[in-house]
Amino acid sequence: MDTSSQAFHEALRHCESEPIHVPGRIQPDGALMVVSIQTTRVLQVSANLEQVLGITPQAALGRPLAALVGDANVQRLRDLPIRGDRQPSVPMIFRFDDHRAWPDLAAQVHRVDQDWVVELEIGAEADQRRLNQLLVATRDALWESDQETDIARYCQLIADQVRDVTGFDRALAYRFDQDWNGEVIAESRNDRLPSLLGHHFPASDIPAQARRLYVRNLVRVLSDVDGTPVPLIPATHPETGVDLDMSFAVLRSMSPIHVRYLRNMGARATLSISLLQSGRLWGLIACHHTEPLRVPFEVRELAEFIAKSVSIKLGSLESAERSAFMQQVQETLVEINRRMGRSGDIGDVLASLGGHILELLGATGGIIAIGGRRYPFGRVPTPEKIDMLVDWLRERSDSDTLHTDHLAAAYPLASGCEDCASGLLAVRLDPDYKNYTLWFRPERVRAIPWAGNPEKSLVDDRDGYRLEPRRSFGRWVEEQRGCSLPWTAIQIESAQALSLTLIEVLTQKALISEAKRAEARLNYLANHDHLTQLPNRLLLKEELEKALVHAEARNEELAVLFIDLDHFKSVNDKLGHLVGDRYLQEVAERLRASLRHNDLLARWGGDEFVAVIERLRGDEAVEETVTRLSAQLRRPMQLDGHHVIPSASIGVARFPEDGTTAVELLQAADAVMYQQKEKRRTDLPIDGADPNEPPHVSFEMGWQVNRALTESELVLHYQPQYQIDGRKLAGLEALLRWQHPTRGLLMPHDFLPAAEGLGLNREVVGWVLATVCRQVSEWEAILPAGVTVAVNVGPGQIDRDFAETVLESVRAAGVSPARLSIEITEEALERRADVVASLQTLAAAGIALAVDDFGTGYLSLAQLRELPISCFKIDKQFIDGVPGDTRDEAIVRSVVALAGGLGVRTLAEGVENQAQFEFLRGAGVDRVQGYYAGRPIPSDEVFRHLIEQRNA
Amino acid sequence: MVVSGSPVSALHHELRRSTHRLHRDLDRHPVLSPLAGSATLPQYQRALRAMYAITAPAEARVGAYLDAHDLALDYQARRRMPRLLQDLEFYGLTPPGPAWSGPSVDTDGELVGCLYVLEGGTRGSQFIFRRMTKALGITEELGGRFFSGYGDRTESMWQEFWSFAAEHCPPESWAEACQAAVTLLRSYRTLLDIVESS
Repeated sequence: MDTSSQAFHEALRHCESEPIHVPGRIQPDGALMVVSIQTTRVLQVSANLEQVLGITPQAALGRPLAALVGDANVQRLRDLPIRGDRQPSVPMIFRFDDHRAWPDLAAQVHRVDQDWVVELEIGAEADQRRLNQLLVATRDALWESDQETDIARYCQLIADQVRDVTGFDRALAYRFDQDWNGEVIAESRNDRLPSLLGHHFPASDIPAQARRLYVRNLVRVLSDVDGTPVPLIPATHPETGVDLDMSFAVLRSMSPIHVRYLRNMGARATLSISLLQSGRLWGLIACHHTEPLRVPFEVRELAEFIAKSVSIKLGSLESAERSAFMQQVQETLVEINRRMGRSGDIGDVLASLGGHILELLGATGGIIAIGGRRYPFGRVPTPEKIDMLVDWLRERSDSDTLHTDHLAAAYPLASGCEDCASGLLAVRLDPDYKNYTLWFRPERVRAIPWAGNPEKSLVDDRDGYRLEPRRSFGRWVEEQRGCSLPWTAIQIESAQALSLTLIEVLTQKALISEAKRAEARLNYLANHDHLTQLPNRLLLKEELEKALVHAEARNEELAVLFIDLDHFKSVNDKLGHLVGDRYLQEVAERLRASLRHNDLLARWGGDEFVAVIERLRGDEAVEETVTRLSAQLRRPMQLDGHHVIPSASIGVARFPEDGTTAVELLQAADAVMYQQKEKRRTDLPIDGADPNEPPHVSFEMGWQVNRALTESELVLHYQPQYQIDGRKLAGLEALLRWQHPTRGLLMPHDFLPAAEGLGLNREVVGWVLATVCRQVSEWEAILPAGVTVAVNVGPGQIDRDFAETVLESVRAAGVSPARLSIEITEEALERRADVVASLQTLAAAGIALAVDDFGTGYLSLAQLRELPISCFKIDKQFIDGVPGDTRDEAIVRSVVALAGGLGVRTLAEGVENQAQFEFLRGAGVDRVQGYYAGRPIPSDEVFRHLIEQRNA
Repeated sequence: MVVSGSPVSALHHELRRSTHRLHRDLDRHPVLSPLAGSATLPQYQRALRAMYAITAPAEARVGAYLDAHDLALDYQARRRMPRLLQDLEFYGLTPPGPAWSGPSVDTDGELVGCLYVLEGGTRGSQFIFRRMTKALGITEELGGRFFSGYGDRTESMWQEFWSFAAEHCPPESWAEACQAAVTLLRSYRTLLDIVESS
């Protein structure tokens, strides 16, 4: 704390210790008497008694009251409904007609200790009729404003009403914040006093003891700030010696500080009405007048009436606000309940509802801790900072709730977290802080328009710093940092209620959902196969029955596939149960992957699976599914160092032809499967089996590809590509072949899937690239300028290091990258958005990129635009149709037009005759490839071919 | 004489509709359901004994009616109890006494209803036979005669049954046939429950 703010706080304490309730003086508008209730003797009087009552203090003191005002007035006083010690005054009229000639006096009587305090007012026209009229008008106005539910608007109506009734120049509605700083939220005024609307007043303007007084005594008046206060005679109680407590005295003389304050503010007269909410000082209606203004008794009564009415209204507004809020809280809890019931996961629920809960409390971050486990949502400090904060909170074990809008002031370690934790509202549910909620608010830099600089009113006198009422109430704007918006009472209260319930709901729900999860787990275990996690036959039958009901209702077809693995027993026996289990799991995955999402796949038991294909469209669809399943199954599988090619017998039964019940269909599918199995009893597909058997069944293809790579059984053939104009050689496409020792020349589709299944992609493509580059370097001397050699690359062959592999092959062979072209299918580009970077690296190095089978995929124009493509290879299926098929012709022309627009070359694949060639030339295709132009040539003949070309 | 296929399939449809739920219950019955998957040998043997106690009286009643009315169905070839006895013998099990006196078979309609249940069982038997072959290694000779049904002839004998049914169960007897099938299956279900709880 710096020196100036230390001084400010010191002055504040000074001011707060001023005994304003025992000023020992009254305002000069009336006189005061202290009368013993027991003896009715006058004990103390104000020095001006004679002006009011026509009797000097000396004559009055010690005498019975009846001697001064007559028995009738004393009797009336005795009959007053005075409620007890230090309660608000009760009005009465002193009438002197039967005693002595003296005008009626308005009196206010209340009790302090064992005495009456009787206050008499000069010139008080105790006009009951006027009071009644005003009361009715005020009551009506209050009724009208009662419809208003917005506090600021309501206060505006009240300020207007008060000014109307009192005739003051300015009436301010003034609301306190948590720290007792006040803000003018409504104002009614004429032009004799400036506007203070929106101004803030520091808490020091109304010190704590004044606030305490204001709660007890709702209305204070000062009719003339310049009036000279009148002392009491004697100054203290003649019997007890204590100062008279004037908390409830209407004529109480105001603190000289306050008087100066009012003067500085330009007010000569003031009326202040307390507004309470649920017994707590909520705000004030403060009225100021530029001239002295006597506030008659009935106006004060009205003011009190207004104060009470407004306080009731504030209470009801608060309770309406609270009930609206609690309604929202309730709805939120119901929603939490519902979602907990569905998901059972606290984290999930908070992720989806956290924002809503935060909004409810006006927080931006929250942490719910249950049993020591924390669930954060929104913006919260780091876990380490939370640890420290919770430790700090634990130390301060004085209260279950802690709230601050300036956390760093109380907890310096919070500085640096202002962006998320300038304000904290902590609710603990146990002393150890195992279950708690923390709510955070970020910094809200506030520009506060103070009514004058509150810190520029310090006076250093002999007793230390003293607050001197400031002279200027002009706008002085202070920027406040490190603070959040303050937490309102209702937010704090709600946070407590919400936190408790939240934790209760979440904990109980978590327990319930734990039980539900356990039940669901049991149910799952009862209905699923533990090895493959597929539904078991119990669930299958149930689901199949349901599917049949649907199919029948919708007149749809359905197929049941009974899938029985071949050789499973051998796998199990020869490789062991563990491997057998892994085999089944892999098979289950493959089957699942080959079915549609909605198709049902179950493990019947052992090596049997059942698939249910719903909403069947024709026999082809079933056949297609069976083919797909078989093909997927037949991919080689590596198990514990053994290569296995799974296969299965699949029996199909259709609803309704082959059966209408689950049992019938299963039996029928099983019968078909059994017949099939009988037809083709096949052998064990494990290493070392007879290589003469069909490849998918009896020998391990991948293993042989591996051998082919090392034994130089792979070879390359090259198919020439020609410029369509002049038929000059434009390029060569490298085609991979396998010179199989027993089966002759195999095409890539015979062996690449197997190689791919064994993860040999990299090796194969590496071999092709290295071989092409080496051969290009051998032909370099004779290879015409501009001729490129193309290498086909499959989607599975492009890994992260692909670009590097290509460039390394080029470098190693010492050939120009411009000699190389990479051909990749449209489908592959479509599936592998992640290869763009690799392709761009290659393009940057000068390697051309051609899109193979162009027109057969779904590559978007946007994707095309991003790719560094230099050539579209128009797929053979379109070339087959030209000339003649108008659609194919249109496609070819469109591709040419698209390529032209993108600056990309076109090459027609599979050109087989003169007519095609002529059409393509006419359509503007740049290059051709195919049997018409030239068949693939083994690599060792390329050199000779190039020589011939040159010589031709 | 074999009539056209459509009344037969209509009768088949009616019988299937009437007995669907009961067939499903039996399929899921704890005594029989293990046979569709991975039954243990004791489960298999228990099922054999139960099948004998429950089915033998039914087969006897059907046989008696056929004998008495001299109907054109070679029931001797269809009797499965001798095969079941062989299986029990194979496992060294004493044949249990009959669990009941069997269904009442007093009309052709009731005969067809009961035959539908008994003959229909042969198709399900094959399914069970293949599963038990895998699970327990049974073969026809090794404890699997009953469930091997009619072997390769299962399908053709099933069709022969429908020809017989078409001839002896005109539409006016369908309700009777369905009622008989339902009653027989209900009895099976109740008797299996008793077996299970004993």
